[in-house]
Amino acid sequence: MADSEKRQVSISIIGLPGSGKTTFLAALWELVGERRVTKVLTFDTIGENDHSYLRKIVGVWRKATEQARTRLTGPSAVRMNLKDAEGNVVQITMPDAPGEDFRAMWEDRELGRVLGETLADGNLLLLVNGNKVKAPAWVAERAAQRRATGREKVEALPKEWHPSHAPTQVQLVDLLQLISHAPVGTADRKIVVMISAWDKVEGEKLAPDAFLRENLPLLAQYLEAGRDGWASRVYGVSAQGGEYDGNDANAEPVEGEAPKKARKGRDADRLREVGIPANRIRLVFGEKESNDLTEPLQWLMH
Amino acid sequence: MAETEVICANRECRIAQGGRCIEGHDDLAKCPHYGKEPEELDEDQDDDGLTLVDTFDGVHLPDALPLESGRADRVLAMLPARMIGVIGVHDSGKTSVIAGLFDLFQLGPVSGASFAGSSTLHGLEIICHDARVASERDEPHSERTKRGEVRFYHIDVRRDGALQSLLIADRSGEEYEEVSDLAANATAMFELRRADVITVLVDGRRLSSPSDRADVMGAIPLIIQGMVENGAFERKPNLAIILTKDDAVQASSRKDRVEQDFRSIVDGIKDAFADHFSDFSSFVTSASPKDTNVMRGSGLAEMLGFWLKPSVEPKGLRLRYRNGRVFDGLMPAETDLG
Repeated sequence: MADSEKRQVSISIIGLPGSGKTTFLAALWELVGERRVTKVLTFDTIGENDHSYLRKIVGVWRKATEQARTRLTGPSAVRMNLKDAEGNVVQITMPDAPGEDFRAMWEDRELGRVLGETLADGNLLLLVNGNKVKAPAWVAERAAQRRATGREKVEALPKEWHPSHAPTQVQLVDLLQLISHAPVGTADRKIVVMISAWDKVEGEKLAPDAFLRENLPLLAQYLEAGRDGWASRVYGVSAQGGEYDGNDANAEPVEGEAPKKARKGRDADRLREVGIPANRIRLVFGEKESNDLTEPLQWLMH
Repeated sequence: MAETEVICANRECRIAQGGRCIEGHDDLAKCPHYGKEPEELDEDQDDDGLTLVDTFDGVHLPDALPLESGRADRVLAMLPARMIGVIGVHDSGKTSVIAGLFDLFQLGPVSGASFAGSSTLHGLEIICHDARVASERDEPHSERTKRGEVRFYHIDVRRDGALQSLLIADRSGEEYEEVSDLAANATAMFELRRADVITVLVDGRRLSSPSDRADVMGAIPLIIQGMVENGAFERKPNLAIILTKDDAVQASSRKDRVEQDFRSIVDGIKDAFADHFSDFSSFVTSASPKDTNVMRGSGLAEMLGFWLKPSVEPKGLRLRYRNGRVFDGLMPAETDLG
């Protein structure tokens, strides 16, 4: 099929630093290339798409090693030619921008031109690391806890406010507000909120939408209130299936000391033994569980 | 009927787009800008005659700080809005009430209202900071509002299926105090003339203090009197009277006396100023307790319910504007927009 006959769909993957965007992309690429696993969208052709970035990150994923956090360049253009059960071919563009770019939107009120162009329209997939949600916490309650447990507060000078102190949900609401208004983008779009590291938070026994209401209530209210016209779905994803080995590139070097070795992941050895690697992936929607990461993409395509 | 072009010298006023006068004048003849052409601006050059070059390749996003009046007016034009004027002397807990309300939304819907958005998230987070663990303070603190132009905190909510904006005015307590010295000091307080709800704060901590209670009880009616004399409440807004810092009251050996004094303040205001407000209510709050003896944010949900309660429809506005053209003489002498 000629490129001009393909439907073009743009889905931006967004999220704060450490939210699991790259891991999600790597797992998705592994899945779409795996013919033995059933899914709603399958790989069609390589075409003219440059898959070198995807090949690199999927290699790290297959080794059950965390993705490196050091990439600070602009968005990587990720394009996949996929087809649905009826044989309709779509080219999905999913720019994978560094989380720092989204953090700059909240903290510095700046948006680079290239990322700005990708956020102008199309639907969104928002990754939120369920295990790293920074919730608001108050001095009075913390002091009462210390009194109850007999712990002393470490002496410290008061800290001035900095945008990075804001709870995760406040930062994400601001991000979505910016994306749905001029000068960045438009309202009335679809969004999938993907709670990553689901294996670490499923002990709370909550479905993903309930997890969002319980742990990020401001974001849940904002989406449900509908001022900016978001149509939303909430999923839980364990794109690794468990805890991978750390990445040496992420270990902070200390001057004068030997390079630190990355930590050993609790589940890495077990996951390397899974017969079909794509079966490491776990996706939860409501009460249902599968490994089909293309299902939320299909919802975002329409 | 032919329409007259509505013009205003204040470029930030959106009255021509169906909004209200940015300065809060119901009688537009009193507005110094209405009916006048805006002055020409030279937008290409700065004060030095030099063109500024911005090397950043991207978009500068709007800041998320409290709004000055022009941006507040644009918010007013987007959704049905409630403007809230919060009057309190310095350190009466004004900032804590606003911060405490936002903190409640961080935990879930408040008084049946869901958070729907805000263009002042940095501003709201800044005033929440000193009560949060991230500040590393030993006890919660609240920064005083500095003297200067009034600023507005913005929260959109959905309640009973409808979206509406809340714009909460923040001005330094000292400026409100000075209204009791000279009523004319309220002239610039357009946020009061425009307010749908006036919220008067009574400092519970000071009311618990034997040396301060008489001053608290005496100061508040005089401030309101000054504002009334200045015509600040001609639109007959609703009035909420709030006892703040109930955690201090509850910890005080004089709490029964404080409750009695607060009732006396409320009754006194109702008696003296009944004609100037549409509806009255009073609330006991603890927006940012220093201890866990009371619930964080207690009383604020009820206060929000009152803030969102629809006002009695204002009476029709009377347009008395004339720009001197003969055509205007052919217009009806009074136009009822009610």
